[in-house]
Amino acid sequence: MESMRKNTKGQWIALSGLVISLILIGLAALANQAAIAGYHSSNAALEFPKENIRELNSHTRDNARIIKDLSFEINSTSNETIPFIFEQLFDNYSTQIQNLYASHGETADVSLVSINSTNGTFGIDDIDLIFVNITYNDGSTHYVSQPEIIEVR
Amino acid sequence: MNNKAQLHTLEGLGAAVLMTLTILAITQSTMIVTPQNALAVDVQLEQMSSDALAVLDIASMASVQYNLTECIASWDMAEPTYPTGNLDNLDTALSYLLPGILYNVDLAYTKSGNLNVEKVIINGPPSTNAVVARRYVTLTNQTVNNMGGGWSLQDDELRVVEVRMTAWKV
Amino acid sequence: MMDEKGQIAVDFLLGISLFLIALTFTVQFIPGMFMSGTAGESSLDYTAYRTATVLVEDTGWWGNSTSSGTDWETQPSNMMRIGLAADDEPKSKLTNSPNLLSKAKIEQFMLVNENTLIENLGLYNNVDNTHFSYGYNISINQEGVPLVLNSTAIMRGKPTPLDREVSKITRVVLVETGTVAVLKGSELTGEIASEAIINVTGPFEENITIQIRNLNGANHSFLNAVVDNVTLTPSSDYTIYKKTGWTDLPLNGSLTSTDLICLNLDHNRFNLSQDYKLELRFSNVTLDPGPPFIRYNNHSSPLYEPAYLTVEVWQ
Repeated sequence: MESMRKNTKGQWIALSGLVISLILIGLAALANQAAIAGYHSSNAALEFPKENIRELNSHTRDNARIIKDLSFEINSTSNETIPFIFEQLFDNYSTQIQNLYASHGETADVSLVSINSTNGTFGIDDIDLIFVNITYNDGSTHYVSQPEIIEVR
Repeated sequence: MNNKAQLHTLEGLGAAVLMTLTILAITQSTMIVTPQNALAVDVQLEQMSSDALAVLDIASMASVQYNLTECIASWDMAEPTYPTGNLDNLDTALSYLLPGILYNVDLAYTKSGNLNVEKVIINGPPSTNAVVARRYVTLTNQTVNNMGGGWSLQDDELRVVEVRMTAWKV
Repeated sequence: MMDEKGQIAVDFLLGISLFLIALTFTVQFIPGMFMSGTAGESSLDYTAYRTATVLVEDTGWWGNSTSSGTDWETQPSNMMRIGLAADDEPKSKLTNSPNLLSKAKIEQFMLVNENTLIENLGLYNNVDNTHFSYGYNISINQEGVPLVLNSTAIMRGKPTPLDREVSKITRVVLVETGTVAVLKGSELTGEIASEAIINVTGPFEENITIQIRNLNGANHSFLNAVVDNVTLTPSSDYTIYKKTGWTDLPLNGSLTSTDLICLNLDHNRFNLSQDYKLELRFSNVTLDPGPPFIRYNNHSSPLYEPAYLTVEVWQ
């Protein structure tokens, strides 16, 4: 047993074990870097509010048509003009959208720019285009469409 | 007895133990857990959830019995009691599109300046990887009356309702 | 045994073998160690996501020096982008309907040349300006089986390999599968009060669907369907069902006025370019007298059915 303590030549094997262990840790760290790259591409897909923006747009489009129909309905029983009723309803819609988006920390603003008609009168078949400004902000993404042109005929 | 030959064997063993422990330590640690797979699952789930709401929203009468607006319009404004939701037509339509996915649905709307959030479909507490998908519908008195819902709107009123779906994998 | 130096080689051998055995053991039995989380696979995830998004949400685009539009399926040689989303206004960039897939576009998508498809959808990895194509599989499935349009199963690419890591993304879509006429009970007319007559002008590529809502009657029911005085055979020539949610339930017994009655007719019954007279016979139903009779082609619109578009990509 005396000679065991004195002979130290074999320690390079243990040392190489240590070196290889360190290399492995390095490799693992590298592999983790690559994983972070995957994290970023997936995270980009998660973070970018593609669906929210699309939904804000398409809902505003649908809504312009609903508002148009409703204003003609109201017009038949009141003295107000079509553009006036349309504007009021659109303002009301805009407020509701602002409140709903604000409730989950996003800013959305839809505002009416103009109601366009083919011949200057506002009959049910004459109003063809609605111009709307849409802005959306969720803190990291800012989206603006000014003007968004909506066909309502 | 000559025991000199056993020396390097012991060191070899030591090296082997050292390396095995290192590898075990690395693989067991949370550091190596590949986060991109978990996130890719999230991306898929979020996409499926918003797709389901979108598809139900744009579907025409020929494709589905009631679309999203009609389902929401038919709500009787009563609180559901778990485990039975009270918007069955919406539940049926969504569960067909989202097999293997559980979801809760809340409706948010503003009424005389106040924000109301009501639960309509409850499938239990969401798991930690739940995602939220939102879709907006506009109700008028006409759409509500056609579906016999309990929204009681004025004739000249329109109400924007946010359909908020929290979805998670079973 | 007198010379001890000779033994060093032997215990060195033993030490190094133990080391190598331990190393192979660990590498072999912890397989995830050297495989997961490489940069290549994460970009696969993104490729699958991007491909599915482009197909489902984009209408595609074609253009030459004089003209352009989203109806690339009619101009395959000038095609610039592939996309399957339907668009009713091909000249404008503003209109499109994500998640609503056009039948004509899907059919053209099946015919696009392999290299063009890989190039257009970016299904390759770019290493030092050399393109390495990914393996891919793009399919539209309904209830677990590929959708069949115009007798072609909608599936492109190779079968998914089992021995490799595959990135997969699924989208819920509505696919145009044929045409449908949505009719109200009050619109139907007939020579006899209980027999609706519908004129149909062929030919059709896909089965046609007639949907009848609000059909009033007392304890009324459907009897049979007749084309040009030939009675059709149920299940081979037509199926009748009522729509509940997305699903079709078999129709038996009497009807109620809230039922959405759907009649799916085999397109082979209307395969010539001519007028057909379709009679739908009911009992206990009183329809308005005709002529005029309803013409299917004037009331028909694309029929969209829910399906799943799946994109799978691998190295």
